[in-house]
Order: sequence, then structure tokens, then C-alpha cells
Amino acid sequence: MIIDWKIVIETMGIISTAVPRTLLYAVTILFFGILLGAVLAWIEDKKIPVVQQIINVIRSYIRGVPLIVHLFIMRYAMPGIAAPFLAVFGLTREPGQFPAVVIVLTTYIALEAVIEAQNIRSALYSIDSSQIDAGKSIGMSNTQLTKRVIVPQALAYAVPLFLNAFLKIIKALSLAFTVGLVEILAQAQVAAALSFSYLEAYIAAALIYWILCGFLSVIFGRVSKKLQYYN
Amino acid sequence: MDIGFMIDIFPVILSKLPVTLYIFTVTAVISLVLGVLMAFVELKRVPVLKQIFDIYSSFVRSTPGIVHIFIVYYGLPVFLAPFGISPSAIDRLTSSIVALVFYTVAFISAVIKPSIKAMPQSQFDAAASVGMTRWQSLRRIIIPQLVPMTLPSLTNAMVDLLMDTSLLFTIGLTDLMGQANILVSNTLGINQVEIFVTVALIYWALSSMITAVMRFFEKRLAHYLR
Repeated sequence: MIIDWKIVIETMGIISTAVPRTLLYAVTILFFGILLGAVLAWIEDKKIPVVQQIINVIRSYIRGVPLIVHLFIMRYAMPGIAAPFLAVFGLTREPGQFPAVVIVLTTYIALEAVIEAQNIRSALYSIDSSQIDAGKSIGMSNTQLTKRVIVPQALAYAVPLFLNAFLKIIKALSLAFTVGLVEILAQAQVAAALSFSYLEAYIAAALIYWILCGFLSVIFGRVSKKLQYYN
Repeated sequence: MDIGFMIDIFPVILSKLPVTLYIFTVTAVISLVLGVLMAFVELKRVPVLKQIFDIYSSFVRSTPGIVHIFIVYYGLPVFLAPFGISPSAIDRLTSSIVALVFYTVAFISAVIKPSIKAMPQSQFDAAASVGMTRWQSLRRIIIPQLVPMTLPSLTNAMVDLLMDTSLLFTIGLTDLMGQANILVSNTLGINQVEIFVTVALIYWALSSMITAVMRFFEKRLAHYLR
């Protein structure tokens, strides 16, 4: 086999500069995804007749269509949709110059919100009603009940799901290069274009992902185990 | 949105459906067989193989699918050259299937393992007590219960596999996505949204069909669990 490991290691150095940026994107996506997901979960909880059906169809669509197709639709649709809003502020932008980071973050946050809404709902439903009765029986007020019983248990259930989602987002961001956002994989392609060693660059990217996600999943596993205490 | 244009290009994109379906089916079948084998080997704790599989599944779970597609596409010819196989013998279809199988097996094995573990030992003992051989108890007792237990999570793995096929256009394969990208360059940058919405609708239909078929089997096989 002719793999130049020296180039692999050099490329890993170049790629690692994109890791902090990728983590920042992932944190942003997860944060707003959870926030919007909570709003969505709250709306769903009300079980409003028509709205609920619409949400179900949207969820089925989002789950049934590959991420890259969502990304491409947004990439071509967003400049047109955003133009009237930008015009309000007197801004104009050529469709080709629409910032990739906006396209990627909007798409991923929207998709993440739908996933997180379900996680949040299942976290809230995971709490046994006897827990609430027990809290009431010793005279807790509603605020106390929320603060000391519901939130700790719901979080203990939801946080492992959120952490898992974080790893999935890091991996999903590897598709962002198709719309021109420079994260881990795109950085590898930049390096490959300079050294003409594509195989080495992609092996380097894989190793970076492996180290990053492997390390994070060990830490996340420990955190999740600690949280078991509340359940 | 130009609905007329979408109707016009629908058959053009759909003409590449066989490519997507072919890759999906071949990958699914090979991955299922290998995934089941891997699950059994891991549970039996075969010394060296177990460690290799542990490393392999940690690698696959930590890396995005697209990286596997690229590595196999650029690496398979290099890897096979010492065995006397010329790079020209490996087309995009082959590297696509190899990459997707490599990626999917780990997930399928991860789905099947807990079901095998959840099978109570008493089932094996009961089968042995009536004089069944190991193979008989597997075929008549264990597998009929195992299949309906794994089907729901297997459905997810199959839908994920379909989603992963949408990445193969990045190595130049002309499947549904590849055809859509050809259309984009042919229409000189207009109607791109319509093209990809059409693709989205086709994928939506496909994944709904996969889910429906799996649900059908789930219902048919549910009585084995009682």
C-alpha cells in the first residue's frame, strides 16, 4: 500500500485548525435547536387540531429526506426568500454571495429543533406521575415541584440525548462543504488540493473525526452515567 | 415555484431511480448478513476478532459517512493494486457499495446485538431440554423471536442507508442526486429549488415506502413475540 503517512500527519495538523470552528457551529446549532425544540414541544403539547397534523407531516418530511437535499434546497431558496427582508434594511446581495454559514446554521437549526422537540417531550413524559404526587404529598408548591422534582429528572433523561445529538451534528456538518462552509472535511479538501494527495487528506480527516468524537463520547458517557443518579 | 417545470423534470430524475434502488438493495442485503455475523462474533467474544470489531465500530460511529465514501473511492484502487486488480476494474458503483457496506454493517450489528442479549437464557435451555440441536433451537425458537424484536430499529438503519446513498453523487455517481446536479448545470442556474424539491419528494416517498414495508412485516411477525 502506498499511503504517505507523513502527509497524513501534516494534513491532520492543517485540519485541526478547523476543529474549534466546527465545535462552535455545533454548539450554536444544538443551543438554538434545543431552544426552538422546546417551543415546538410546547406547541405540540397543546394538541391543536390542524397544527398538530401539519407538524406531523413536516416531521415525516424532514426525517424522510436526506440532509444534503435539505441543504441544497435551502442553498438555492434562501437568497430569494431573504432578499425582501434584507431590502428592508437597504441591503442587497447577489445570490452567489449569500454567506454559507447562514445557510448551514439555519438549515441545521431548523432540522435540529424538530428532533429536539421529540427528545424534550419524551423527557417530560418519562417522569412518573407518582413522582409528582409524592412531591405534592409532602406539601411542595408547584414551583418547588418543578425545580426539585421535574427539572432534575427531565434533564437527567434529556442531557444524554442532547450530547448524542451534539456528536451527530459534528458528523452532519461534514456535508456543509457542499455549500462552501469550511469545517473539518472542507479543510481536508483544501489541504488535498494543495498537496494532490486526496487519499491521505481523507484519512487524516477520518482520524481527526475519530479522535474528536471518540474523545467526546467517552466524556459524554461519563456525564450520562453520573446523571443516572437522578433517575 | 414552477410546478409545470417540476412535472417536466420528474421523469428525468426518476429515470435514475434504479441506480439508487440497486445500490440500496445490494448494500442492505450484504450488510444484513455481515451485520448478523458480526453481532454473533462479538457476543461470543472470539479473542482477536472482538478487538478488531470494537475498533472498527468505534471508527465507523465516530466518522461521517461521506468520509468513508471518499476514502474508499480514492483508497480501494490503491489497496487492491498489490492483489493484481487494476484500478480500471473498480468503477464508481463498486466503490459506492463497498463504502456503504463498510459503514452500515457496524450499525446493523449494533442494532442486532441488544436483541440477542435480551433473549432469555431460559429460551435456549427450554429448546435444549426437548432435545433440539443448537441449530434447531436457533432456527425454530431464537430467530423467529429475534426478527420482530429487531425490526423497528432495523427500519431506522434502512432509512439511514437510503439517506447515505444521496451522498454518492460527490464521487460522480449518477443516481437521483447525481441526475439532479446534472439538471442544475443544464438549466444554467434557474429553477434549482424546483429540482431539489422534486428530489426531496422522491426520497420522501422512498423512505415512507421502506417504513411501510417494515411495519407490514412487523405486524405479520408480531405473533412470534407472544
